[in-house]
Amino acid sequence: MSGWEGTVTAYGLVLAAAVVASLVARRRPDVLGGLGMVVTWAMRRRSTQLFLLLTWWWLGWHLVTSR
Amino acid sequence: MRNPTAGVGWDYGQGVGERAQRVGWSRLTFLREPAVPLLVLATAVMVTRGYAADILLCVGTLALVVREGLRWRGRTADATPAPLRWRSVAGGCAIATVLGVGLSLIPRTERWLDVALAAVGVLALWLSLAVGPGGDGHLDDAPEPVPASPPRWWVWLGIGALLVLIELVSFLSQSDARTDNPDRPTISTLLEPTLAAGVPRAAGLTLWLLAGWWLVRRTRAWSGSRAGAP
Repeated sequence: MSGWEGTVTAYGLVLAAAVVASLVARRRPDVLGGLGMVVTWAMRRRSTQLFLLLTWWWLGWHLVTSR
Repeated sequence: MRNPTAGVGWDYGQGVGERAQRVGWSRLTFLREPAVPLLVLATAVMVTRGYAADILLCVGTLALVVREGLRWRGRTADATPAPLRWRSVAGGCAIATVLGVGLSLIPRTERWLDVALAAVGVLALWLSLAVGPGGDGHLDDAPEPVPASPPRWWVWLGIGALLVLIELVSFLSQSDARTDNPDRPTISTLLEPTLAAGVPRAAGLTLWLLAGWWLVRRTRAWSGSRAGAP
């Protein structure tokens, strides 16, 4: 397996884990909170709110502009 | 009812030095919050990459965290927003789609795209900063809401940490901070060609705008979670 394949496989496994976790959270919210619920809970702190706003804006800017 | 002694900070001249010291340190408790080391790490990565705009963005956010930390003093708020009506959801999606399609028509190299995205960011920041404790630094004595932690929240933390770890390994394997390693691609290396043009670009921008709306609604939930908020 090349480095590229290994890296893409690793990203794929993380994505698969997120999908499985989402499905579990949807079926059994008493066992696992959903991502939205967890992020909302994390945003109880002002610093987290600002950090997530920065991350959101930077990702959009980074991915769609030619910098 | 507001506490008249809150926010006085270091004050040894009033004969209440010990209390003032305690209040002074309590104003800095936000420095222990998890976002602060993450921001410092992000700033270090941006300094390594050497893009002035990214560095400015991270340093500016750190400054805002300090400013807001002094206002909030480590307090928590219930960030759950009020439920939306279907009409609001449909209206928000329609606006995001129109804006997303419109932004996708601006070429990647055009400076107007930077200006338009900056305007979206400034609007989101302004909407978020417009709520919170009073500008005079005083907080009321209402009980602080402490939202219950979702079950097994650490599962999502683990998934996020794995993603960051893979991204960090890819970044560190680059010959220099600005040159992608084709053998170990970062997420942006994989996504940028997909988001270069057409429907995926419009869809990506629409989803980005909707994600921003979702976040801003939570940053503004403070005003509904505490009595007496501005």
